[in-house]
Amino acid sequence: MKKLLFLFLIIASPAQAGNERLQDLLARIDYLQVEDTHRTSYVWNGRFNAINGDAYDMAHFYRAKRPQFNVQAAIKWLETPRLHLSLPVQIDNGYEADLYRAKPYIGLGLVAQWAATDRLVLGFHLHDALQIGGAVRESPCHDGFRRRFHCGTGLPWSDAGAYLRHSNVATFGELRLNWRF
Amino acid sequence: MRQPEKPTKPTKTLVPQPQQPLTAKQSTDALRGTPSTELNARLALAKAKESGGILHRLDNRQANSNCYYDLFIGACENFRGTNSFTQTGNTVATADTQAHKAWEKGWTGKGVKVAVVDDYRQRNFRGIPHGYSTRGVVAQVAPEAEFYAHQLDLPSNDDSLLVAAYDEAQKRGAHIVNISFGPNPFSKSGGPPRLTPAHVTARMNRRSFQKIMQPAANNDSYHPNMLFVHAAGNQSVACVSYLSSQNTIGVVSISAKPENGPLGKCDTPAAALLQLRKSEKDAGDRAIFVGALHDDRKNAGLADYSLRAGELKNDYIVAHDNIWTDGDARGTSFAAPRVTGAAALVRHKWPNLTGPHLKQVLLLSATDLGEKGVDEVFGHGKLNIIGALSPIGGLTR
Repeated sequence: MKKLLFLFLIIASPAQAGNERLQDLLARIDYLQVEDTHRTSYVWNGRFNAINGDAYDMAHFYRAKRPQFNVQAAIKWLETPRLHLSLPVQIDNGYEADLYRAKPYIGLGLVAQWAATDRLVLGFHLHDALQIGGAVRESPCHDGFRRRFHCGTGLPWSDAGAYLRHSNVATFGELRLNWRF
Repeated sequence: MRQPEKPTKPTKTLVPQPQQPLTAKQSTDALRGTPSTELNARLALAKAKESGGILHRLDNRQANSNCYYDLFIGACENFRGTNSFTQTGNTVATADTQAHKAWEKGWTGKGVKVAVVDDYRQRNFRGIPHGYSTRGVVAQVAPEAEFYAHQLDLPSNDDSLLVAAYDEAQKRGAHIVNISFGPNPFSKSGGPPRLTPAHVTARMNRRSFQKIMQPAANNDSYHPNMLFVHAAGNQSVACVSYLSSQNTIGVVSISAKPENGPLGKCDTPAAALLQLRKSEKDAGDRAIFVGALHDDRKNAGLADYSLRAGELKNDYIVAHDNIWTDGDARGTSFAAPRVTGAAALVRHKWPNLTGPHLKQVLLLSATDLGEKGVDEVFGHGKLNIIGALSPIGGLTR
């Protein structure tokens, strides 16, 4: 499936839409990125070489059963001549396959930018500080003797504990110092 | 997001499904084993070596450059040192079975009970009791397995003693029983072998035979999770001579060593099993017969003394048969405990496999040798522990 990518950078230019609330919302969006891809965990491709070297293609066990989307945006919260506060948000509708299930996810953060002088801007960026959902649950596949294996790696299921996927969303924070020459 | 990895080999053509279809939908490792460590395995093996001074005695014997030979094998003074299986840090059975690769994953046989019914008392095999050696081989493959050593004076033909041995093994919770002995139908002093229909029928009607060969599903059978591992027998040379004289050996396939005798015609219990299967098709469903491979890497054939699979090809697997070091022994007695140890590793990993399923896991994962597929020389092929820990058959949800 082709990926659809929309990237809007809205720079404080009020839309001419009739609906004032929509206009107000759009005006508050710093950026908006929408993808038809699950982003909050890494799904196995189902192709593996078992420990005896035999190659398997179990991709169908990890194929998504429903559409996926991921939205990343930042919403302006406060804007003054010196201070800019916005709330970065990530929404993911999760992933559902035969052996892999990731729950829907919402993550919230905070971005604060303070113009100390006309040239110096100090920034504090914190993404996905508050995380709701996103848990990953994997299930085993079974061989002809109903022995459990992990079809992502080919390992016997109880050897695969260290490899099982978790949400790959990490809280990300940084301090930025911008100097305008 | 999807990973761009690609398989390095084409998708496997899946091997046949197990002969016994599963009825239960539950996973067989719902009660999964708890992994141990490679270090624990090596410590346990070191302890096993020290017990009874087996290794020390073998080392002394090695200095004489004579090989340690099993029942019914002739002298083999020029035999030792023909292969190079021994790898750094691993004794010979560990190396030739690649058991250490299972240990690395934590599967060491821990918690699995192995009964080695054998002779631990008589020292008529160059000063070393037979049982110490068979037990030593199991320890090299599954060092953390719990042993139950049942004393049996060999050669034993006492039915009640055999029944008592197997009963006691079950009573003590043994999951796997190693049987590295059997009746030799060929008398050393000559005379007709005990392979007549009357002998076979008598064997079939013995209580000890009935108890281990009847289907696991039968109510009065031993616990369905038990597996019985039998040495195939070393009477090939005598048997071929006999069969040739009877003109009954038939045509042997070109890949077979023509001098190897078929199990079902050269071994009374094997012949009895074939007879029993005429009325009970699932008979022997947790009995596995183990032949011996040449220990010379250049010659991957069946050892000349080992009986070949014959009609019991679907119950037969092969393994090497040294004890502790290259070229120190010959005999299917020491091939069987490799399979016993491998079964212990698989059961450690998947504790609730039934005996028949455990047998099928070992057979279906074996490395094919000789003619393609299951054949009448090597049966399913060479024991493959890593294969037994890998998926078998189609993978489903």
